[in-house]
Amino acid sequence: MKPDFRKSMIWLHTYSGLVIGWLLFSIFLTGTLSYFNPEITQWMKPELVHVSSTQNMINRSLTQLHKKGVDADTWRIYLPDERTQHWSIQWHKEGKRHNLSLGPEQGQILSPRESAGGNFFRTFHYTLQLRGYGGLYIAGIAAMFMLVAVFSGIFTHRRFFRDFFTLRLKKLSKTLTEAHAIVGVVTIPFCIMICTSAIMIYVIMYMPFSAEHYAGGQRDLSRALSPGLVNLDKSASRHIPLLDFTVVGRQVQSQWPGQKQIRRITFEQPFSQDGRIIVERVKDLTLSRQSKRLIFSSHSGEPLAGYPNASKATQVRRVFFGLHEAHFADISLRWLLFLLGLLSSALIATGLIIWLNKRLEKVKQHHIGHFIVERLNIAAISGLPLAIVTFFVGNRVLNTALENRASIEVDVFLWAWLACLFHSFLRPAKKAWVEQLLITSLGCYLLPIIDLYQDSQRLKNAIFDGNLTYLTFNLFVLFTGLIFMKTAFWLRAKNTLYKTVSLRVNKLC
Amino acid sequence: MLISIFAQVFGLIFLSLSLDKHFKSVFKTALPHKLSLWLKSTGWLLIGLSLFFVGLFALSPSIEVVYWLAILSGNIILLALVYCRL
Amino acid sequence: MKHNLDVLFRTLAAIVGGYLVSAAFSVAFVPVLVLGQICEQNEAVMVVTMLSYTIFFAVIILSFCRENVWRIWRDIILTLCLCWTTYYLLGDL
Repeated sequence: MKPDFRKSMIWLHTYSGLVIGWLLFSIFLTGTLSYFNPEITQWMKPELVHVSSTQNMINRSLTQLHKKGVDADTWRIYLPDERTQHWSIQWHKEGKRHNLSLGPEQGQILSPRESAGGNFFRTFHYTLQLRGYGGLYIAGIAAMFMLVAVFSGIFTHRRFFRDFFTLRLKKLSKTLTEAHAIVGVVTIPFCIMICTSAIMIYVIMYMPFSAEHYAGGQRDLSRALSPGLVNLDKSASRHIPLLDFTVVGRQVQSQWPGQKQIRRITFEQPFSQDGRIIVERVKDLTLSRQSKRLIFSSHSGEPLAGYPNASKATQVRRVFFGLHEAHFADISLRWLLFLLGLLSSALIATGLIIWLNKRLEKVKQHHIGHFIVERLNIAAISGLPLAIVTFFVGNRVLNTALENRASIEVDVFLWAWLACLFHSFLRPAKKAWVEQLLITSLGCYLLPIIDLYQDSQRLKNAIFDGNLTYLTFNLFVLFTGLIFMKTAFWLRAKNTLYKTVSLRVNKLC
Repeated sequence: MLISIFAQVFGLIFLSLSLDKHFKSVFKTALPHKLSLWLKSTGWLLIGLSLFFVGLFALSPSIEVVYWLAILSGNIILLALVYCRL
Repeated sequence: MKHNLDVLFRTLAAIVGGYLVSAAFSVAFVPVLVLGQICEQNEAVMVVTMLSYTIFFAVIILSFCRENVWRIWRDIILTLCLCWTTYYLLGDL
């Protein structure tokens, strides 16, 4: 290796970035979209209505559960908030799980279309659709590579703070390099936080040897470090659970001051004498992934012993997890984190493009390696947004009564991405960029139009009810379409200029 | 929190102006050494104050620190864009 | 060719060697924390596993900036021996 530390770091930065770049771009882009997971789900299920200001939701849920979930093993009530607007109840009986989405009117039951929603992006970014096949490990490896790339990247740029804030816009390669540098500096803390917290989420799974040797495995270790509640006595006599939540609600209110502090209510063994209610608080007030919980008896509502405190190390891990998910973030911080995520994705994309351009400038004979990098760049950087837009179009276009609709939507995403890969290999590179960007922007423009065509009331209702989620989504999609279109036109203009110049040069020679 | 943000913004502005390159792009004259030292120290003082305000008045210091760091990134982006345009 | 072999061995040292060293560290240092009365065993497992990633990161960076590949491997093997010795002397409580 080079004797100079800086030169070794440059080498490491170049190659670690290249090897993992396409995967990392996909993880970062889908992960960034996950910041708006419930909002995207709201847009993808237009049948949902505004429920978060409904009165008396808990008692109404209990009425429904008493009707439908008799002798169930578990009852769950998910209360809506401003972001999710999804009020649902759930009950487990004989191994099967039943769900109902409730509406604001008395006894109203909604049936939103079956869709993975924004949660698809969240699960994709850490499982890569390969949950049983090692996807979690691959994502963890990618996180480690990113840390190496960020660290080595810091040493790649000379005169760390002095020369940074220049951005020469005339020559493209200089612009890209300097944009990469600026964005890199700005997103250093964000990237390091995200990658470290990502690894800490599955810290024991990725390095299980210690846990297996001393504690008998990951599960036993978690049970030891964050003990759950005592096991319920299965043979206890039958007792109907309470009908009115007020007695519990008052106690909860005294311990957790403020409006709408309850996120979820779980009844464990509701029809048993020993059954208990677990009330879980909203997560806005803590950095930790686990918010506070209160335990009550399921038939009398009297308070029971709470969860024992988790060990300090587990609490540290939960804070890492919470930082990664950023559920504590209010709307402004969430947009800022979203912006930082987009910038990090742009960082990775510009890095890949810079690598290719620098190599193509130096080398006379193009090598199959350059060809592959060039085409994978196109398939990842312009192909993934295209696949995402197709995913949204599929959500609107697919029949709502289809069986397995959620997984069909995901298949649409994957097939569209594969098509982009083929397209990038079959077309000349410069044309492939322009075409994919144009198709993506076309898809972006199509989305609000499809909405208007399918149900013109949606937009009107959104404006009159002040449904900011719906309106912001549409505006952002149109804005994205505009950006992709402008980039495509700019690239096309550059291509024709290049062609004209080289034709003229050929004519002269 | 607002005081903290203002302190952070001005701290960053002062720190960046303490550098010859940025001072020249704004004021078009050379940067005297004493002024540079003064700008640097005031800048760091303001950053320190901004952190102090976060810790003192915040309801939940840990969450406020996260906000502070995120806003720092935002400030850096804005400042970089301003200097690019100058 | 020499350069490629050099890169290959450094990469192996970084990824394989690094993972081995951090895994060894995660097993060997639990008794150190427990005997040093810093925390009890299960907590020590969590703490040491979290810390082992910093060791992993350090090995990766060092594998690519030290001059001689063989010294890197020598140090990895020495560290593994150290971890094994620590575990042998203190471990299995």
